[in-house]
Amino acid sequence: MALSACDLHVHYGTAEAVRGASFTVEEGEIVALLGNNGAGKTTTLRAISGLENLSAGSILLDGEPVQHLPAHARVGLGIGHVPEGKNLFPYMTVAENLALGAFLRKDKAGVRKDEEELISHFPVLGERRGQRAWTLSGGEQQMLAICRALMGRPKVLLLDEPSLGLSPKMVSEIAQMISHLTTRGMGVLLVEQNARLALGVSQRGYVLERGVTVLEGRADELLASEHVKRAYLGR
Amino acid sequence: MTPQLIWQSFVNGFALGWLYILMALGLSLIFGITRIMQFAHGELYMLGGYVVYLLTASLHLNLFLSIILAMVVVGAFGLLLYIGLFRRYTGQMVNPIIISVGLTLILQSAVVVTFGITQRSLPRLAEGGLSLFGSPVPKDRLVVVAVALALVVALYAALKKHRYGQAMVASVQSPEGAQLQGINLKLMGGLSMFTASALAAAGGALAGSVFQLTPYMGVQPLVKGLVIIVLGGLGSVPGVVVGGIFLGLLDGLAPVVLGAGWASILPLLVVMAVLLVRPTGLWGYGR
Repeated sequence: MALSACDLHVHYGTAEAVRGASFTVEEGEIVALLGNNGAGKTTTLRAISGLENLSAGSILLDGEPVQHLPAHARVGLGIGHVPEGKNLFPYMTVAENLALGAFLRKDKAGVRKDEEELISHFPVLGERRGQRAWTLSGGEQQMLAICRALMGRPKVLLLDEPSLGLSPKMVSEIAQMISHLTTRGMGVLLVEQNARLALGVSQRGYVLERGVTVLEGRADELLASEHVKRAYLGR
Repeated sequence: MTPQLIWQSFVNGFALGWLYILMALGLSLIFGITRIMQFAHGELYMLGGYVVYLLTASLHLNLFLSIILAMVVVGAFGLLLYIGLFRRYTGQMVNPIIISVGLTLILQSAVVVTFGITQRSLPRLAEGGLSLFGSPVPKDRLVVVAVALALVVALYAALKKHRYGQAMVASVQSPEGAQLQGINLKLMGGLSMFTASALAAAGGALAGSVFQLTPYMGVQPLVKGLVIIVLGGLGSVPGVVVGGIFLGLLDGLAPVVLGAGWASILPLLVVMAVLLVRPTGLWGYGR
């Protein structure tokens, strides 16, 4: 099991944003984390990558606890995170952003190869190599943010609303790219408002309500579930 | 007011500007990465001068070797200040300000106690002068500009090309983004304190040689450094260079051309005017 989160709790001051989230992501698996605004999805991802502190719970990466490690150390162990708002380096070029994604990697040849491969999937990043990141369109920035995270060769990739602000064409390109990468064993935890899209690309899913994972199942089961239909699919 | 006097003031101001640039780059680097306004940075500048004084007067070391050693010593001192005092207050507003203002007084007093309040002098960087555009220029002013320029170019190249330089720039532009690429922000904070303190020490040593060495010599450069950051905008090396030269020339020329009164308020008036028109500074980006 690549990633296993058990009974996560996160406090913001006295408010408890996450209070009992548990889930697993297997190698090569795409797992959707569904929930409404304010359900704690973003906070959950931030707690896994270490941007938020846990007040209780454990996070295992390949069976090893990582919840006590700072965010930068978790990256080295294989947690990649494309956060909400992307957090690109706006005044650095596309190429510099990608290179920083591989900051901890020592295999220069492998880094170059990965960059070439990503650019062959998203040629626009190659065309804009020398451009500063802020000059890119929203969709291109999202692509860059995902590719930057992939440059670190994560074992588990946390994606926060990757479809936000993207055209349907771009969404399907990114979905294809991610499916392709999972064939190499990378696990993906996908947070999406768009539940139909998320369950369309994932194998399994969890539903997070007010900070608690209340439902889990295979993607097709969740798509068929009355609860999910009523609350998240607008039917 | 003779043309010679104006020329002399111009040359002095230009050299002064490069000392301000060294200060401002350091302040900007520290603030960008740690969010700490290092008000005691001027005292590290001053300490740079006194370390060189010790090395040249007591140990009779070569001046330039002494400057390099002073950069290392003061850089390490800055790193220690970060580890011992500032690091634990990362993300806080008030405590780092209190600490750095307190440090200012402590370091000034320590130097007064050790070296006395009287001015000291360092060996000259270079003797004599040469002729530039038909006007005389003291060689030591040129050495100041050359050394400062070399340091600025080295810093710029490191930030642009070196892995850790890029990591520092990334930490300024998006601290969370940097952490998510595996960059240790506290390590970057320490690196920025070391680098900035070393640059300040070089500035103080150059100033101590061209002008004089006093326990309070760091106060003015600190103020100028802060003004330059505002003028040039945080996070822009070219912005700091242009702002520094501008402010240095203003400092050199204003007392001669406009009188001492105007000279002290003019830089601040310019800053106010610039901020009214461009709130993020001339080159800087907002945050």
